[in-house]
Amino acid sequence: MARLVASPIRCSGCRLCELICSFWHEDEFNPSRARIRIEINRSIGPGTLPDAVDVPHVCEQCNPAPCEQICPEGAIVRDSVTHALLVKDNQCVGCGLCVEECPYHMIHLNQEKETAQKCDLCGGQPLCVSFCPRDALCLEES
Amino acid sequence: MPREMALEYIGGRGFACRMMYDDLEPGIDPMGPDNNIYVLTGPINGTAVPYSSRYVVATKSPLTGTYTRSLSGGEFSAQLKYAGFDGVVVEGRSESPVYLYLENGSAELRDASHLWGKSTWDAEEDLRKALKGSKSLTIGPAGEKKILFASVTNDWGRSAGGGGTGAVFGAKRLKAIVARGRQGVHVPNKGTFLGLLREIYKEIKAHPGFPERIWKGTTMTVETTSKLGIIPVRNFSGGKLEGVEQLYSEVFRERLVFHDESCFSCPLPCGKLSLIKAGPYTGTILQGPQFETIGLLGTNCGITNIETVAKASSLCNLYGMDTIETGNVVGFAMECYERGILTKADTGGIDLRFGNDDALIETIDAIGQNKGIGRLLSGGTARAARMIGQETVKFAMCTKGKGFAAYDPRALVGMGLIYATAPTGAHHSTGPTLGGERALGFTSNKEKPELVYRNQNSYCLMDSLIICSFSRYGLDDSSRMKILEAVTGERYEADLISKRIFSLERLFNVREGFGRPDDSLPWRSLHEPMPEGPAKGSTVRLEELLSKYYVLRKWDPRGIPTIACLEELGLEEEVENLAEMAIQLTP
Repeated sequence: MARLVASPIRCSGCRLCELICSFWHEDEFNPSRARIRIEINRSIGPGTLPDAVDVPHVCEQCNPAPCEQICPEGAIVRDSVTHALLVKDNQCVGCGLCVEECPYHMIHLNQEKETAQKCDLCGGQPLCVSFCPRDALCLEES
Repeated sequence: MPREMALEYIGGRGFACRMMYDDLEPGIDPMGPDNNIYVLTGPINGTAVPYSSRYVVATKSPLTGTYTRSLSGGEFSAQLKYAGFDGVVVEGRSESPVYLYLENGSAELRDASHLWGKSTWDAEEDLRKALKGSKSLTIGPAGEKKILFASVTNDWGRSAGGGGTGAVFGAKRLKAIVARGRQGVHVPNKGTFLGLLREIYKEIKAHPGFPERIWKGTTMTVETTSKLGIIPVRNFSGGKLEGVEQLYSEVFRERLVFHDESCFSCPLPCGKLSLIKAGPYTGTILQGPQFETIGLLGTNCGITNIETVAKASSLCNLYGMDTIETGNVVGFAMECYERGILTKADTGGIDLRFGNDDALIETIDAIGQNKGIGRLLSGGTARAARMIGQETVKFAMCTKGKGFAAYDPRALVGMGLIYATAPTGAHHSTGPTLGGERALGFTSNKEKPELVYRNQNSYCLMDSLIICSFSRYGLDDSSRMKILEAVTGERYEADLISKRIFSLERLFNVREGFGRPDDSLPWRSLHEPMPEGPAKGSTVRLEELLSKYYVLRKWDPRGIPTIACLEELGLEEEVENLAEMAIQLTP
């Protein structure tokens, strides 16, 4: 098993991970198409501090995985090497059930391809991890 | 946009000066409908290039009457790109308060009467809630009331502070510009670009100064400049201040900071989210304060309580006004008060002594609300000195009406030349010299014109890409140009471009009637020797610096670019233009 682990304490909210993710997977710099998401909490009034200011959200590669289980087409499968859950584009019909089922909101519909998209751990060497300037992301093997 | 323009001016500041020179008739009223506001990005913004999330705001400054340009970070610039825009030009004037909404290629002016009167923070918060995922730049009450050093603020207190850009927004009744979008930014060659990014980020992480800069942010300069007697003390009169250690980064970190914050796509989180945990301002949350703010609102006003400086900074940000100009004008007023030139009758009862924490806070409120003593100070230091009269102009610490930043030029003479020649008035960020002057001797004139010339040129490039000056942590001009060329697939003549931008900005000011007599420093910097500290006895010998500097720039002794200079820079058309205006050029 391998999965991304994020540290909200270390994250400084630069969102380079989102940029590099969208560039790698979608050939453009576009955070709205990234498979990782940084929540930026600044809606803070006088006297109140949020628990965490910048919070990375990553796919947990759950086991068992709700997305894998709900998919009626069997289009979400676990990679035998990286153990990442992958979307088979040729099998996915874009029904969106997995999007609704994911407890972490980490699956989205790709507007162009009309298929689901999620973190695939970049084939085992996630670019978000190697680019994170704060070492706020790591790949945990277990 | 013609391709030549992109190759000759890159973007950002370069585009701004070109468009301003072409669009704005000389002599127009900066606060009138004929002035334009240019909010621009550059070619690299919106990508994963480090340090690249910046935008420039340029306009004819109501504070100085010159060209001005001010930059800010945060996320706004990237979001503007994703909304499908490289920049915005605002013309005319609205009858009622509006904000400009930009999304996926469309632009719309919307009613902003519900936002008018709100602080920058509240206005931003309202817009964010109403338009999820959007980023906005806003003005606060200071901009609405046309305080001449009102700023434009984005991302919880990051500011394009200098030159009164916020006042021009206010004059146009433009409360905010809001951007939101899902349009990506592309580069010609994915593989090459990814390789370049890997290389750059490796360089940056390996830079020896990187961890300290992250830990201290810009406040590391407080200690450096205090020890060198450079940080301004009591309206730039002194060279040391008792208790200044209470403003050093260790104290700042310990007492205030709770989070290191990056701008978008930046590996160096110099932003410090702070919380005041003690004293009368407990509970205040703010961005910063940064070095310049600590220098002007702190030491320049004789204040050494970091919580007071933080509160003062927070207030300036909420009103939406420049912390530098505010600290400059309050320091000036404090000196007038101590000399008995201003009295309690003028200040509305405020005991405006140096070092009086409450007086600082009360005066900032008065300026932000344009009431009481604030009415005297809301036009900046030079105007206040003219109104008060007597000998106050001798210690009105400005050039072209723009207040000095947090470096006393007597202790850092190259910065004096920056103040004198910056197209914006005394703006430090047009080519700061602290690092470069160390090797040359801080109070010596030796090689300072050359240093200033190099730095100014380099900043013209950075401000046009647009990339932050902190990119010096890992990058230099040559790697910056390599990045630019990888993003656009074009080739650029960096040296010519930077000089072209700087001289065109100069021409804008020449057309407005500025020349050598305005490239000056106040009497105090030139004739009152530094009384104490490492720079004791020093004054700025400016004329010698200026003469050498003009020669480097190929400007004539009046400070006007020569025909040879303009021809070399491809500005032949401007030669004719100036001739039509009866401005005599030197061959």
